[in-house]
Amino acid sequence: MAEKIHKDFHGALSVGFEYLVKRFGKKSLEEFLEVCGRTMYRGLINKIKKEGLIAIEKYWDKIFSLEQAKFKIERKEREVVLKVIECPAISHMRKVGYPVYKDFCIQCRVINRVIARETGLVSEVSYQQKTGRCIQIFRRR
Amino acid sequence: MISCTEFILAYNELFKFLHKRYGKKAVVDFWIYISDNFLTNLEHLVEEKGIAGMAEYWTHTLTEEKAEYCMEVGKKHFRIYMKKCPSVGIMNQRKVEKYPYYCEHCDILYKRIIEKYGFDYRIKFIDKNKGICSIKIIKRNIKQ
Repeated sequence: MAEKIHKDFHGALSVGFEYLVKRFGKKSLEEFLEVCGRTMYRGLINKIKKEGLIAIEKYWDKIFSLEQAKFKIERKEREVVLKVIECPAISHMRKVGYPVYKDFCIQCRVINRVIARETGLVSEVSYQQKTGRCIQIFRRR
Repeated sequence: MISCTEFILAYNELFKFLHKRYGKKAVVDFWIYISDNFLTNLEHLVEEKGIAGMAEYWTHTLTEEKAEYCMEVGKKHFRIYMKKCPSVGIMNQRKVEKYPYYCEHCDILYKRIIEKYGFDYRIKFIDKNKGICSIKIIKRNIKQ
């Protein structure tokens, strides 16, 4: 049986993004996500520095499995690619009727950019929030 | 994606970010915003079922969050004794700097909803560092 996790937190985060943008503007949200990237993902950043791209693969596999997402990961010599077929955060919020902030997916673009900058990698994120699909890549320079 | 298992860390960072940039009022306003725009599920349960709705809401959330707590559900009162707050536990385990007023969000978020429906809501912070507190909700006009 899958481990119980509190997926409603995705809805609270979405409302937090909405508050920041409504009250202080979009730049404020980007700055907050930059802080999240530097602080919350410090452990992952250090692992990537030590282990390389496999650390990202392990991290993605762990969290997307825990969230019961539909996803695929491909690791090649110079890059690791995550294909999210159905984002678990977006699908949960839609299922329970929470409002989804219109650029909820910005979090992956900004946080991945911070992780890439701190580890000397390049990041690419392309997403379609409407369908809950995205492709995230970390690549060696 | 910030996983829901990482949310508490993001929430804590958001409180610190708001406080540092815009002052405590921006944090309190955020808690009010969350209460009004996100906790509509709690509000519907309290409006519809009263104390039974509170029990339903917190049993669901605290079970999923793996909290250690005792709950007392009476006809006119409702209590939670939180032995180990899951949020505080995560922050202690990850050794992150906790927003100094972190625990206050549980007062503002819930009180605002609960008191609208004829109850008094009181929270007592017993040990903020260990994540021990108690919430007591009593139907108004009833002597303790």
